[in-house]
Amino acid sequence: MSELVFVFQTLVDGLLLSGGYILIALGLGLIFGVVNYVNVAQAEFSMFAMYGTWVLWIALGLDPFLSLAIILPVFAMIGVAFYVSMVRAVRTRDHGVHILMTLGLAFILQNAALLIFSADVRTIRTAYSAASFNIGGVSINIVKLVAFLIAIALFFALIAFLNKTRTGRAIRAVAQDESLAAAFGVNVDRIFMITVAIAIALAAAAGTIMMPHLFVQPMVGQFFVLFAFAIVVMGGMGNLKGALVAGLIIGVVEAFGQVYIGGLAGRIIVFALILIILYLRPSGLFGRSAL
Amino acid sequence: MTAVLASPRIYVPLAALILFIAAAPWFSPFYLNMAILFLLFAIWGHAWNIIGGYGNSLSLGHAAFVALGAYVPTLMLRAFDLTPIVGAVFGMLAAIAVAAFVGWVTFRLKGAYFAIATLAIITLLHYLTLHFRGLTGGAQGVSVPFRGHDPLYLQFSSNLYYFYILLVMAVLVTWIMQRFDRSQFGYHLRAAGQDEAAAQSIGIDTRQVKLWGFMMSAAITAAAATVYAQFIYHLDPFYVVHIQLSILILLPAVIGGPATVWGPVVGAALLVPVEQLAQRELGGTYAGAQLILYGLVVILVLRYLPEGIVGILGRYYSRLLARLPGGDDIGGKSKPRRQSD
Repeated sequence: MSELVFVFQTLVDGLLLSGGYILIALGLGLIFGVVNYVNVAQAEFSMFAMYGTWVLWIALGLDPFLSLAIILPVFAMIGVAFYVSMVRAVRTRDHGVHILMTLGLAFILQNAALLIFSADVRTIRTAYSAASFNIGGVSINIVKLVAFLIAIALFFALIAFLNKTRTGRAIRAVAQDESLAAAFGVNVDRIFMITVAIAIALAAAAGTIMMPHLFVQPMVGQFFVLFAFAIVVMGGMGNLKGALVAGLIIGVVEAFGQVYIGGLAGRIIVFALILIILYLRPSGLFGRSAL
Repeated sequence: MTAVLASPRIYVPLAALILFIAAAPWFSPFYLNMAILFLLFAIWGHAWNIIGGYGNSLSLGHAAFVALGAYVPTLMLRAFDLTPIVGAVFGMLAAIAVAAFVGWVTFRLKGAYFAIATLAIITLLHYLTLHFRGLTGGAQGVSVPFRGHDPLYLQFSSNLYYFYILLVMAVLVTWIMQRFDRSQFGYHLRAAGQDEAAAQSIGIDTRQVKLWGFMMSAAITAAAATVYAQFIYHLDPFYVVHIQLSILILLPAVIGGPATVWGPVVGAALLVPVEQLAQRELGGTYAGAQLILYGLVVILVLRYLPEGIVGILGRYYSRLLARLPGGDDIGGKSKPRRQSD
């Protein structure tokens, strides 16, 4: 394999793996940008969606990508429950309170998963899991490609929803000025509820699309959320387009670090990058925009 | 002297302390271990409380200071045969340096950035520890070289010694916090945490004050961690250098009562026994069940008791003290509520 092909292979691997992280970061950014709430338990919903996908696969033989049709609405409902029980009452308090409360929730969800599913690693390997095709020597795994394309499609669907629909525009209005939006007759509480439902559904989608090429155990969310925070910081808190670009960059950076330096170097660079960005450009590479 | 001792505000805690010291030699290994962990988490809770409670800056990275306080002296002991008593100083300096760096980068920013940066630093340190395994032992961790009973190297034939060392440290740190609580530094840090703009308008350099608070917090955490390292004698990066430990460190102060002197102590006195007993009773069959309980308690306390449980307990305690001989019989006066805004 020539050096150039190898570079491209690493690039493609990094890009394809970033899809799930981008979806988790989008959810984090959406809740932060609209509701002004920091949800550290975001990826715990991804973890449960992974188990959900796994159960549907084991019990019904349902294809993991098709199970999105069940997972998305179910987790949107869970998002509503999360908003009503955990967000609504403390929304206007410090970010520290949000973080601590959702840390408490993360503790509950992680250990509930441990009790229900045990610490064993669960995987889904479909008939087409190993399938891949070749472009100029660069091998592309079908499962990873499909996951990535679904993530990108969901991103553009979200952007279109926010720009083209009445509810989406109301969400943007609330993100820009809550009291002004309320004065124009927007039901702010309902908008918050819808936003959180979408964000949790995005986190669940992330879990489901990653399931065919990754694995699940009760602590995976803890790692996912760290990556998502890295993306959110790099892209600018609440900046959705920034999150997309930052997610792609971070995916590639991790892949190159892992391949060219080895071991955990990729992750070390990613987390060092958070501190460097906070120092140099705290508003993120693309600035903080109101959606 | 006798006049001071006659007040129940002095003799009640003093009697409790003396009882605790005197009873320790009769503790079973399980309860001695529990008492040691209580003291440790009380100290760490005090340390976290400085920046997380008074400074109102949520640190999720205190395990990083535990890691530095545990690893630095242990690695120096292995490399240069340096006693951890001296090594502790280097551990504290390393922790102060990291705190200074993180604080310097983030205390000019608002909101969640400090929490995210501290999350990044503990994660970074976790992966660095795993990556540079030649230095740190990687995932296997590193052991403190066994020397038998050697007090100059903080190694003892009985865990009771660690109990007394940590007890002295805990009393010292509590005393420091009592002074801090009423000091100008304490008031400035509280002001900077409550309302940054207002604090700046009366001339407080909030960034500087938080930076000093964070460094002090890091140093205390690392110092206790050095003793802890000798007590557990094997450092596991999945416990010592892990976000989970950061959370266990902040729980006593958050649940006990942030920005109060006794909050972390009361919090640790409640949480450590619950955790230890739950682990012993449920650990085998329902691993992690105690952490579900922890999570629930955190959510409920934050939602309904933002001032922590000392807010409630303090009132009953004051009423009790007022009825004792020498009490002033004016309930609530002995524990004045602090102005919080």
